[in-house]
Order: sequence, then structure tokens, then C-alpha cells
Amino acid sequence: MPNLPKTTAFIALLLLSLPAHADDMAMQTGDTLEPLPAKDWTPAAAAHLLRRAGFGGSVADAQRLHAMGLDAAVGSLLDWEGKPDPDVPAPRIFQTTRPGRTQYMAAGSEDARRKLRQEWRRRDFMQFAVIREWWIQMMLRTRHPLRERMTLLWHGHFTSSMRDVRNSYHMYLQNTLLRRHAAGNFRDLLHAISKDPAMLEYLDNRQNRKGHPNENYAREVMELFTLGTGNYSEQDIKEAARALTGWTFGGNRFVFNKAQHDDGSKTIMGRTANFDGDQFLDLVLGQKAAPRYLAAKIFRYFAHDYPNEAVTNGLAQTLASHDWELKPMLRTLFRSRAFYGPYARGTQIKSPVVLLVGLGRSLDLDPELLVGGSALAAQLGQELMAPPNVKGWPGGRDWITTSILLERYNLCGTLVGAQQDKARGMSRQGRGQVYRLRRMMEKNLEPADDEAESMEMTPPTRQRGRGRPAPTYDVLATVRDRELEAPNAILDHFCTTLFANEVNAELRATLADYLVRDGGYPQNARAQRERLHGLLRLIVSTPEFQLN
Amino acid sequence: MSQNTTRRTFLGQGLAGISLAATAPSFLALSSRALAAEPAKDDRILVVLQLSGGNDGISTVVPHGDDAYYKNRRATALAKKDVLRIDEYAGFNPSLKRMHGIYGEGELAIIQGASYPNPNRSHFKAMDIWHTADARGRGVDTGWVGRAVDACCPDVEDPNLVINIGKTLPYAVEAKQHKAVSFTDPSQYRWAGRASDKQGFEKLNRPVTAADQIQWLHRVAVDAQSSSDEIRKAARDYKPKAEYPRSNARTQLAGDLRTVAALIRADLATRVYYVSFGGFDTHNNQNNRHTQLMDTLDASLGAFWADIKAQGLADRVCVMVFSEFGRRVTENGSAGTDHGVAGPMFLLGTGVKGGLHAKHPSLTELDKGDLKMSCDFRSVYQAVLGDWLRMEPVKILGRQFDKLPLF
Repeated sequence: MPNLPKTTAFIALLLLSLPAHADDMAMQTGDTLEPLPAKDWTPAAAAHLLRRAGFGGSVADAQRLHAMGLDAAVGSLLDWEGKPDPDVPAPRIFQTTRPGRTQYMAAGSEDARRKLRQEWRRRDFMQFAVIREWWIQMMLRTRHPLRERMTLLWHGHFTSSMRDVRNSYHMYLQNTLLRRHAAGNFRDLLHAISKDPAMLEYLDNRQNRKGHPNENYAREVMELFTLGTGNYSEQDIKEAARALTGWTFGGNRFVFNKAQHDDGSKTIMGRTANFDGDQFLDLVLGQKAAPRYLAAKIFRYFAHDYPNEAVTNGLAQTLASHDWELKPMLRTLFRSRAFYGPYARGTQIKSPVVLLVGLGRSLDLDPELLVGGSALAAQLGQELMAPPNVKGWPGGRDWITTSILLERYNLCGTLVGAQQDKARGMSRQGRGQVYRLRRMMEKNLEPADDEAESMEMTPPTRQRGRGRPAPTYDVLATVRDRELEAPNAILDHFCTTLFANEVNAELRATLADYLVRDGGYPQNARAQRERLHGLLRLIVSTPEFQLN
Repeated sequence: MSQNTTRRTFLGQGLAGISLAATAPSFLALSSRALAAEPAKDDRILVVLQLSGGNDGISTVVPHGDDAYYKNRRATALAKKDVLRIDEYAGFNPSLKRMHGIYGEGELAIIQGASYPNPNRSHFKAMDIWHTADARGRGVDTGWVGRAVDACCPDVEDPNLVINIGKTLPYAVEAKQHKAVSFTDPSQYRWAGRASDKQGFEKLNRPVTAADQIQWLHRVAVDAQSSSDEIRKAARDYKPKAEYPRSNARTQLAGDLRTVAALIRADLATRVYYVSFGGFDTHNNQNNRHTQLMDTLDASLGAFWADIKAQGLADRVCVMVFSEFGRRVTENGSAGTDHGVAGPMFLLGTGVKGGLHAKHPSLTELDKGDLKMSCDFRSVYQAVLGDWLRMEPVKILGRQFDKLPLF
């Protein structure tokens, strides 16, 4: 037995530090859906909204949002339809890279077909890499960041993975589908995703035929997409799978194969009829559990992990009373006390994508600097369009391991570092990959002959003259433009820009000491630049910076 | 909760209150496992070596005594006279000289025809099944190695229980609690800032008493520094007692195994090391490529084993080699082979019952042109987990598989 004082101290520490049980937490939060009182709509609250309903922004962005007042600020993020978005990457003409059936048959020998398949895989892999980059650039450049945040939410909810879909164009089509419905009507979204080729492939409904049901999609619709476990039976799954028979795709389109559809009578959720797939989906959405399930999911994504009953029910009711329109519910959420409460502020661990895109947007980094961002995010454990499994990314503390935490520090440090720091923090393969992606983006997808090998396998041996050099963050220009001269003012600026939480005295003191070390803040530009890059590098190398 | 954990947790937390500014912090001393027991020097270690891409088992353990082999493999067959004989029927690929030697010492087990029911011929899907040890593949959200360390060591605080060397994290090490440390090069597993900024960095990343989330992140940051310090030091200071082949851009295998040896020598708390070696997807002109792969495998693994023995560590180490599938019996029209099913696994160690296990699958009684399995790979996992690592296989694998006397 440990001795008594130690035990007592240990228990005391336990009480101080361990997370309360989720249920207790939900009881304690005191969160409500009441609108945030005007006095609490501060610049910091506006910055919080921008970080969560977007990817964050500069201090000026948050100030602009704050000046609008709460309702208009939420509206400016949420009502993006019909508004221009001129800075997003030029639309690229992605296309199917799969050889047509006739072309395939005409290839004659098995050998020629194998070559055709290999060529298709190679091109498809290239296109896939570019599509992911395109999405990252979209997140960085769009004026409608909430649209991309919602798209990302749905990507983790209605997951599909390139690993199984093996068709980059279908993954692209799914991504545009999620974006089109991002804050539209969830019923429409559910029906549309259920007919999406990538989804039909990923969850095997393509193989769901009359007399030979495949239950995978029917199960996940209820377990992960709409109801959650405990709200349906195994029998419901069996019968629902029958309702979905014959839903498949041909080429890039949904196809209803009537001959493969089981149009017999089915009993689902206690109701008996000749349900078809659409009727089954509507039946599921009519379950009491459905709006609650989705409301809790969305609350967790945007606010925190411990929604209380009243908040969940309130959001669910808003969803239900607007026939699954998402906007009224999102508007309620983003205006609520709960969203701005202490359990929500600065408590989420950033996903790799939010970490990287957020850094880019808050410092106004040249989006060019983040070419290769999808490869960096993958290195940190979030491979876009290839989530680990059907549940999507578990998120939260699962983003962090010892080695990944250091990699987060190093990759962010590289992005905010000086040119001579570029070599630090990224492995040789990582640099090679980024370099290749940059070139592919520039050349609009025409891989050079020497890139025929898988990108994964061959780090470049030398960097050729082709391709622009990577830009560097001009930290000195930032400071000059804002007329920041005193070290204190400089520090304040970057702390407000980069930390989600109020900076505590100790952290601030360490950073302040750094800024004026070796006889004070340097006078000449070169030394200033170096000091400032060093400061930023330290800021991104903190546990505090991991929080959003 | 064990007394040890209590003490460690207490001290980890308690230190936060003590002023540390005066001393140059040694991060090992600050980490949450500051007073962890000395690494148990008798703990057994597993090294998993994954051959990615689908190794052609028939060209690895060669059925030289079977006419069907030469009939089906006109371009890729290995000459009978070159095969390193095991018996009348089977022999090693001519490149596997060291492994043949180790086999002769009785320290190498070959498990023939390893696969699983309803085999999948997709690299991804098949690898998922080997990684999760479950037919549902990624329908399961943890890997078999992850489940093993989570089950064996719920009270252990050490961050180094599983170490992966490689660019991507294999799903096998996905865990709820003990997430793997992962790096390509141990010297790069560190904060990459300037040396002159290190002091500031360390101040910003030490233990704090704060809100739950931030306190937890600081603890990981401290663990990361101690783990990084330990691993880099071990790799840097290591003096191998056998000569490793030089690594080149194509393969890091020898270097990776040298790192593993260094970390084992340094007595880290690591129970499982995971190393991957790719390039086995030999659809065309297989022979040159496969010979190179076998050369590299043999030289690297041979050097590693000689080193481990010379270091006096052989009794603690077992290496398991696998690939996600074997290849089709009949070669294709490009002097290569396509995705198949069953293939051999290897276990290397002084504790291993050397020799051939399970029977070589027939080259004539096939399933859609592929070798039928003669052994479920999970029987091998079961033996490794239960008889080597002394864990509870049923807890990890979900059920009992046929017993194989491998140890």
C-alpha cells in the first residue's frame, strides 16, 4: 500500500484533473440554446465563431465579423448561396480515367489489358492526389469557409474511401455532392448520398440484389448515418437491405435495376409495406431517434463533446420542425450560449486539416505555401478521402501521439519558418511529395514521364529548375503593415491571432523573453525577421496551439 | 490500480508544482513515467516484418520436387540445382542463404500455406484482414498489435510500447490506449527547431496543472521529448556487433532493422517493433526484381539476427515475417505473377520450434488457380501472442484458433 499522505494527494489531484464522466459533464455544462447576450458578443467570441464555423482568420477578419453583430455575423457565414467566391481554385476538368469497356475489350490480349489497367491506375492515382490538393486549396481560398467545414463534416459522416472506391472521379463527384448539400436539407442529402456511385461502391450496395441481399449499406444507414446503435433491430437491417436491392450505378450515374429489386412486402420499424429504398430512408428519418442523433453529432463537431439533454432536444426539434432543413438549426447553434460557453471555448483538439488550413488562414499565408497540404495532413493522420474506416476519424485525443505531436510542431514550424528552415521538419520523402504535387498542380495534371512510378516510392533525387520555388511567409511585412513596433504589441498580435485561449502569464513571459533575448528586440531587419520566425515557430510548437 | 501506477502518476503530476527553472530539465526525469520500474529485462519482444505487395511464396519456399512447379512457372521458375534444399520437396530461394543457415540451426520456423477463409485479392482489403486479424477488416477499429498491448498493459504509462519504423502507420498498430510511436529515421524524431531556441521550446512544453485538455497535451509533449531523447540516443550510440548491408534509396530495410536492434539493446519498454519492406507486387519480369528483394531480405534479416545473437539478446527476440497474400500458381504472360492466396510465414528466434509447419499447399488441387490455405494465419498470431509474448490470445483475437506448436 502506498502511504497515506501520498494517497490523499493523489486523490485530490485526480479530482482536479481527470475529466468528469461524460454524463456528469453534460449535467454540469449549464449550456442553453438561448441567444448569446449582446454584451458577450466580443471580438474573442467572433474569433471563436470564425475558428469553428470556418478555419479561423486574421485579427482583422474577426473584427469585421464582430462589427456586424451576432445575427449578421452568423448569417454572413451561413448564407453563402448566390454570393460570389472568386478566389477559389479555377475549376479543373476532372474526368473519369477508367478505360471504357469497348476500349478494354479491344485491347485483345490479357497482357494488353493488364497494361491498360496499370495505366489507368497510374493516371487515377495522379488525379486523386490533385483532387485532394484542390480541396485543400478550396478550404484555404474560399470566402465561404463554413461550406467547406460542413463538407468536411459530411465527409467524416457519410464516409467513403478511395482505398475501396478506387475511382478518383467518383470521389470527386461525391465531394461535390456533399458540398452542394452542405447546409441544405438533410433528407435530400441522405437520399442523394444513398444514390452516389462512390457510396454504392464503398458500402457494397452495388452487390445488393434480389435474393442475394448485401446488408452493409442498410446497416450503416441506421447505425452511423441516422439513428445510432440501439434504435433498430437486426431484423430491421435484413428487411431494409431488401428495400435497397437494385440500387446500383453504371458509369458515373445511379441506376435503379428493377430486375434486381425485391418488391415484396417488408416489415421495417414495425411497419409493413412494399417499401422501396426511398421509402425506407424516409421511414428512418421519421424515427424519434433520428433528429436527436444528428443534432448531437453536429453539436459535437462544432461546439464540444458534452451536449446536455435540453440542447440536444432543442436542436433536434428545430431540425424536425423544419423538415430537416439544416440552416435554422445551425443558426440556432451558432447564436446559442452553449456554443460560446466555457466548455466550447478553446477546448477542441484541431484536426490536421483544421490545423494546417487554420494556420494558413489566420496568418494569411500564400495558399501556394500550402500546396502539398493534403500530403502533410495525411502525414499527421488525416488522409482526405481515405478515412481509416467507415466511422470516419475518431478525432479529439486520437489525433495526438508523441511522434505526431512533434510532427505537428515541425510541419507548422516549416510553414511559418524562414526559407533556410524549410529543410527542417519535413522528411526527404515529404519534401519530394510536396514538390511533385506542386508541379502536378502547375501542369494541370500532366505527369512527366519520370513520374510514372508511384509517388509514394520514389523521392526525387534532385530538384530541377522547373517549377516555381516555394514562397515564404513574409513575417516582417505583416508586422510593418500593422505598424507594430513595440515587442509587446507584436507579441499581442500573434498571440491573439494564433491562440484560441487567453494566454496565461507563464506562456506569455516565455515568449516575451524570447522576443527580447540577447540584449533586446533586434534593430536590423534581417535579425528581426529571424527573431520573428523563431517566435512563430515556438508558438506553433506548443500544446496550447493545438487547441481550437 | 497498482501501487506503481499510483506512484508514477502522483509524481508525474506532483512535479508540475515544483519549480524547474533552475535545472536543465532532463525530460526523462519529468515524464509521467519518471519512477517507472526499470525496464523488465526479461520481457520478450516481437519484431513484425511486413512484406508489402504480396510476396510470391512459391519463389520463396520453392517446391522444387514438384513437376507442376516447373510446368506452371516456365519463365519464373528457379533452377532445381540452385534451390537451397530443405527436403525432397521444398527449398529456399537461392538468395536466402543466411536464412537457410538459420534454418539449419533450428531457429527458423516456416509456416506453409498461411491464409484465411474467403481470401481477398485486393492489396488493401487483404492487408486490412492481416492487420485486424478479422474478416471484417477495417470494420474493426483496432489492429491486432494495438489490441495486444492495450490488453496486456493497461497500467503502463510508457509511450514506447509499440514502435513503427516507416512512412505510414500500419493499421495493425491502431490502438485505443497505447498508440504507436512512428518515425522513418530515428534522428528525425525530434523537435526540428534551432538549437538556440531549444530552451524556450522546453519551457513551453513541460508539465502544467491546467484545464483537463491542456494538461493532457502537455503531458504528451513531455512524453514525446523523453521518447525522442531515448530513441535518438539509442540509435546514435549503437555499436552493432554484425555488419549490416548498406541501405540505399530503394530499401531502408537494413537500416530499419539496425534501428530496431539499437532500441532493443537500449532496453526500451517496447514490446512490439513493426517494420515494413515493400515492392513485392511483381506482375511483370518478376525474376530480377524478386531476386533483389530476396537478396535484401536475406542480407538485412541475416545481419539483424547475427547482431541480436552477438548482443546476447536472442532469447528475448522473435521476428515474424508475413505478406498479405501469395501469388497465382501459373505465371502470367509478362513473366510475372498475379495476386494469389496462400503463402509462407516465417518465425525467427531461439525460442522457435524450427522446421516446416503446416503442409505445403498442393500445386494441382487449386482454388480458382490459387493455392489453398493449409493454416489460418491467426493460428500463428495466437502462438506468438500466447506462447511467445505470454499474453491472452483469446482476448485479443476474439476466439480460439487451431493450436500450432511453434514455440
